[in-house]
Amino acid sequence: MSITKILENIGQQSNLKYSAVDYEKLLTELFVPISLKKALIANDKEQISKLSGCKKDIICFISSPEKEGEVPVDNNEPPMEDENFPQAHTLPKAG
Amino acid sequence: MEKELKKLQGSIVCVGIGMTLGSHISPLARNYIEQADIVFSLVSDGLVEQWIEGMNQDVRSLQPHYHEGTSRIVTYKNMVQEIIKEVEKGHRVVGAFYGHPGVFACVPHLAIEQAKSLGYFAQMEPGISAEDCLFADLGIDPGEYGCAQFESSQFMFYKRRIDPSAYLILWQIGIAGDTSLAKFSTGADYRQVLVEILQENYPLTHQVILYEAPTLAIYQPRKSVINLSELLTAQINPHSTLVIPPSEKLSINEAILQRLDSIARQEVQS
Repeated sequence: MSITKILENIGQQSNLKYSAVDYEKLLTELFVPISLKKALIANDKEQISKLSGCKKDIICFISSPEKEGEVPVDNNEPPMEDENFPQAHTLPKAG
Repeated sequence: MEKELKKLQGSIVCVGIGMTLGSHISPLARNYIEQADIVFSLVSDGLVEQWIEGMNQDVRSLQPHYHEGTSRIVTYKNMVQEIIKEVEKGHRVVGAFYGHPGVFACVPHLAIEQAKSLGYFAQMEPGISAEDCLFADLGIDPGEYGCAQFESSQFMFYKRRIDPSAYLILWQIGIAGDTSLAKFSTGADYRQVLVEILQENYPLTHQVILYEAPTLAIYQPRKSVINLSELLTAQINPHSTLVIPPSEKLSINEAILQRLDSIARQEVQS
């Protein structure tokens, strides 16, 4: 069984959520290999990644301040005080 | 005619896989991933990416689009282009995004918008977001005092009206204030500016929380309580979120209450 499949199985165990849990016992019952069990209990993510063959250090930012063309630049004029905000920008998919 | 048929066949569905590996993915999201011709993944953890790769023969990570020094606006545009290119070929495409694909995530929104405008089937399936985990882990009900949340840089770039009687949540605090949108982290100088903005409404001794949702079930969420002033030196990671509890009591709007009372009394009389 792959490491990620084991991790998926672990992710679906409500028993692991209780505070007074014996992780080692539970992981043994789930047939988690000793090397992975040790890494999980030690909170050693680097080792878990190594065991799974995962070599990537993920960088993920999936949001930015605004869409293209709307990021403030030096020459941006401030909006007039009484300038209306076009609601079409905020209600395009509701209809 | 053939082109038209391909157009009808192409589709994009963006699904959320939740935050914690194995714990949060819905049966429907999983089925979308398993049945897709091509899956594009954009997740927060290498192990999670590997897990998604086990669900479909053709899983392509959108990760390589990130480059330090390249504006994220360009990165996101390229990601959307890569997705749409496959939709246009008539493929059943699925985007698997961590958390909720529509919450603080522009790529799924842009891809769906573009696919729809080209006449393709496009849909979003929700997932358990970092926000959902945050409310559960920190025991916060956003309805209790109200809650405003912003992407940290956007919060800094624009003039915002802060309500100190409500919760304030700032996402992506690790890159707060990056005007280039091209950095993978910003340091104490940037956070100093943020602290000064917040200081207009909160004392420096106000206790705030740094939160991180766990990506593996065996891990605990990060819930570091610090003073606002300690934000400058605190360990901040790319996935850290700043939670600022209310610093003021809710203030009753007497004038509005009187008006509402008056309406209620008129209703009883008539």
